[in-house]
Amino acid sequence: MAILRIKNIGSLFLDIKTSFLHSLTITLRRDRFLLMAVICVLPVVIPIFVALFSRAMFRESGLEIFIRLSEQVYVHTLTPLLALFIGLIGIREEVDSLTIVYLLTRPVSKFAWIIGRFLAYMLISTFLLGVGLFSTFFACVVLGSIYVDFIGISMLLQYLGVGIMGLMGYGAISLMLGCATNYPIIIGVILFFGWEKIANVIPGIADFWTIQKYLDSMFPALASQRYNRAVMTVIGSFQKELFFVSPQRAFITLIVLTIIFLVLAIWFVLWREFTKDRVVGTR
Amino acid sequence: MDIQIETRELSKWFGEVVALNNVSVQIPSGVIGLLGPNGAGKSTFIKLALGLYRPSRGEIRILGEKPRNNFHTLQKVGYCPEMDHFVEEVSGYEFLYWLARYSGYKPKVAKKQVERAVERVSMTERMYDPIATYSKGMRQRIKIAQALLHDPEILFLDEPMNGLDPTAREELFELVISLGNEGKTVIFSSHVLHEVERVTDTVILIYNGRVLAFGKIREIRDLIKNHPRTIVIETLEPKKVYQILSVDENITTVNFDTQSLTVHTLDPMQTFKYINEVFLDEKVPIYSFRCADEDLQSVFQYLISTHIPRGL
Repeated sequence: MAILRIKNIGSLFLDIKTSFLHSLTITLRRDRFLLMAVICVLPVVIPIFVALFSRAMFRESGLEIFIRLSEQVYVHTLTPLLALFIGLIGIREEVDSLTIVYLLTRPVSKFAWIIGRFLAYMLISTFLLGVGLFSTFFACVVLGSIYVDFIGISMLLQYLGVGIMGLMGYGAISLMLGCATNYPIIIGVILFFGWEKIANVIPGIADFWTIQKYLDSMFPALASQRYNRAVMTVIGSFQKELFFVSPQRAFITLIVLTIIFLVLAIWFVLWREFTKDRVVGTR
Repeated sequence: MDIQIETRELSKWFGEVVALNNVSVQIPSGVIGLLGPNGAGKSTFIKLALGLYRPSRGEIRILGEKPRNNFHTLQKVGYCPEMDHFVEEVSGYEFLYWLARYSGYKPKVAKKQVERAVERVSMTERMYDPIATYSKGMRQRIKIAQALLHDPEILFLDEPMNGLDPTAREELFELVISLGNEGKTVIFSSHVLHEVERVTDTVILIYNGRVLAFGKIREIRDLIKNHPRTIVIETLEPKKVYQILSVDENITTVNFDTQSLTVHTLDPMQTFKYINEVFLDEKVPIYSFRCADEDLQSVFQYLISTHIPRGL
């Protein structure tokens, strides 16, 4: 008879590795992976179009375009989208198809299962984000004012770092939603593309309850000054008063939030009943 | 008697629906049939045993331990679910391989475990084909293979015969019997009495979330034999039929309808014989007569109505 493992740190790592590799092999052959790969490199066409069709004297510089695309498209839009498409749907597929029952009846640590899934999501999403950002950077170099030098590469890596932090924060929330609720995609879209956007323009300190607030704080210097957020209504325009968070605090906050949401995800997996019987009197 | 599964006042409800009600049983090793109609609570019982559900009240212990989120217990149990869900595009081999890895086996050992399990369910030839191309019976076999992957001590098979062709059924019957002979505990859930009879003589009768009886099948057979049977006779002259039948001492009660009458008899064979003989002579027009409670459902109804205590 083959030897079954005894639960210890070693077997915990073995569980994490199994969950990670399994998630990786499944996700890489999914259509949504290809879709996200295409979406992530799509912004490259913008600097190429500008270079080809815009007159040099009127067009934005490569630096401006790169900053705009990195912040608005990659960090603000694609990181939550990757979290929903790769992180959340990965978990949800198993829950909705009830194949999760096969996993829940294995002697695998639920902690390891979630962490393995999260790590696989992080690797895949970072790869896609990285490919997109690098491609966009080199396309912007063609337009000038940004160069493949220390400053340019540093900026690129800083945006990649902020993107990875975004993937962590949004990913942990997505995993938690996937384990906790029956309609995680709807709730995820409302949170990431509704609440996050609104909270960052309405006056007050609601933005502290968003991931975007902390990501913005980690952008390269002067990034925050580019924004002049305001809510325009029929009564008047309300200027958003920004309370800045230092990049260090933002970094720590995102790490803490990631841990909290991952712990919550694990707790929900331990607590929830993922399969319901059809008993007399029910449908 | 080595107790493998023990429940004490175990109950599970979903909202207002009671799926399992106050079940206290001690299940020894061997092959045990979990018998009951659809919706009786068999799957709920199994899922509670696997820790997939939390008990609403009471407790369940597998090999002395509470099963929920307990990997010690999960190392010792295998489960073949009733539902038919897979990641369709992967092969049977890949599906089983990852489950073996989740069971704690390293790659090379996992591969061997998969090959061994697949061989036991006669799926070696098709194991590299995508699951989407499998017939219902093949899918069922793969589910059974995944339950056997880690060589469990206790095996829960929830309606395992669903969708199997006669050959596969026979193979599975033999597999279950051989697992029992190897000293494993097999909980074999089914709503078909003769399926259970093929693999074991010990059953738990479960109905409406309650365990009605736990014992040998022959004792249940005796119950079927002894309880009054219902015969429905379709005729245009039910009163006349009644007058003739009233001399049969086996008949306990009679109910009239406009074109039929329903009689309860202690000896259905005698009553059938009597109906045949007498009515051929009397020339009373009878269109049909049939026994209305041959199935297992009627036994359950009978057990409920007579309040048979648990543990025959």
